[in-house]
Amino acid sequence: MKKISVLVCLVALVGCEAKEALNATKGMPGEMRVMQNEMVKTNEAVRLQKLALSLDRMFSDQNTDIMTPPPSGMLSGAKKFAEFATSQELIEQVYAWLLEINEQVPDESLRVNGSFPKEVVQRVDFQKMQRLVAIQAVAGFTPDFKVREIVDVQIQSGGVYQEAAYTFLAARGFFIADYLVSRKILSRKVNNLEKLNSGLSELRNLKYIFDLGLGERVALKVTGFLDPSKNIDLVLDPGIVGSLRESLLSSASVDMEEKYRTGELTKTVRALESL
Amino acid sequence: MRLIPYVLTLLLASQAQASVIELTKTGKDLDGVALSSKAIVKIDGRETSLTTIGAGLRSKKISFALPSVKVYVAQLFLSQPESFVRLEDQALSSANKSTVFAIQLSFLRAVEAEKVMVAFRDSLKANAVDFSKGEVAEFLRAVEKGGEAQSGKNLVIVGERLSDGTEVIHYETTGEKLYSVVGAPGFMNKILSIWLGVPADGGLKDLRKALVGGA
Repeated sequence: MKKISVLVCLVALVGCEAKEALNATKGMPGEMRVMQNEMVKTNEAVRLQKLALSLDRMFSDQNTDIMTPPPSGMLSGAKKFAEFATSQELIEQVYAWLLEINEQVPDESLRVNGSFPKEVVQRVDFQKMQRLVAIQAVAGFTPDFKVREIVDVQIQSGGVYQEAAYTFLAARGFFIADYLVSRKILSRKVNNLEKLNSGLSELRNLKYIFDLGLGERVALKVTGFLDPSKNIDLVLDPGIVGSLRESLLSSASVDMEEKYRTGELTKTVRALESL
Repeated sequence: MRLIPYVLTLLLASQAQASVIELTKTGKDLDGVALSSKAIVKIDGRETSLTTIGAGLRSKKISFALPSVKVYVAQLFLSQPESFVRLEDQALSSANKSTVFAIQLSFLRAVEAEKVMVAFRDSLKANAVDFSKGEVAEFLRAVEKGGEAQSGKNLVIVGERLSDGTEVIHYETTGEKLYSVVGAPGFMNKILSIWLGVPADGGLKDLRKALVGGA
């Protein structure tokens, strides 16, 4: 009898706890949503923090005191920024940098005998040059799908930042050709498959820009340097894809190590030839 | 006939401690590099007097928006300067009339050996020179083996046409290691085309103009 009472009590207790647990679950979907919302907020806060950090890194003094060649700290900051920013944020930032380059002028009070002193011109133009290199690097490192989003929203659908999007594409094209292919790959021996595949991937990204058929609208025009000789008006030359492809193929034909001369190499070479 | 120079190439592509060039300074400088009016090349007991043809800065564009990087100051010396034509389209063929040439590259920044080799190769390619075999390939291998071009040091390339018609390129690294490569007639012309032939990029075009125009 004693055993039965204990059992009943236990069952009753367990029953109570189970009921409480069941009652508690009634509120769970709402709490889960709250928790999920909090997590989204936290993730967004973390993303924004990463964006801010990558911008800081791009323009920190130690990464930009010498701009030629592009400093590695600035490039890694640009790569992170391109990775964490949305396509909308990327184009807005490029637009903002272009405004700074083209429209920012020193305070009038700095003029001496009607013109800005050499040091002021150098300082302001150096800051503008930093922005220009940042545009190139960010555009060059932007993942392919974000570039397509920018093209769809800003160019094909006529967005607010359409002009900035043309500049973005031109800057991306120049950065891919000048830095990612010529400097990173072609200035060394193309002696393994990874280098050749990386070149192929970059050339595909470059060709995508030309395949949009935008012609001379894909140009980089910068008019805001105080020293006018630094201003730029450059159209991306479509012949660059063929010329870089030939350089990659001829370098690989001499440099490629024997162990990589396999069917995989043939596949990559064919893919390059078909560009 | 073509086999003989190739065999010699293999035999002479060795290295030794040496300093192949002595310069007479003018007192002027270009980007901090002392310019010279004359040079004496001393190799294997042979001494040849050369006259300065011109000097110029080799710059290279790293990214379209940035100013070019200064890489080296080049000075060109020839044994028969009177034959040299100061026109860009005739400079290479007329320089080749000299039996000895020397070009000194004073590096303003350190450049890895592989990058030096690839840059030379790009120029040879622009001049339709087959760099994949023979003496030209051997020369490029020497450039790569020669190690980094050190900042503030000189790299010297000397071309000699010997009495039997063979042509030797001596490559002295910034660490003063000397590599010699023997080739067939025309070898000197191929190597000189790096600086006086079709320029591979805008920086080399400017350099050719400066070398041909005179210091």
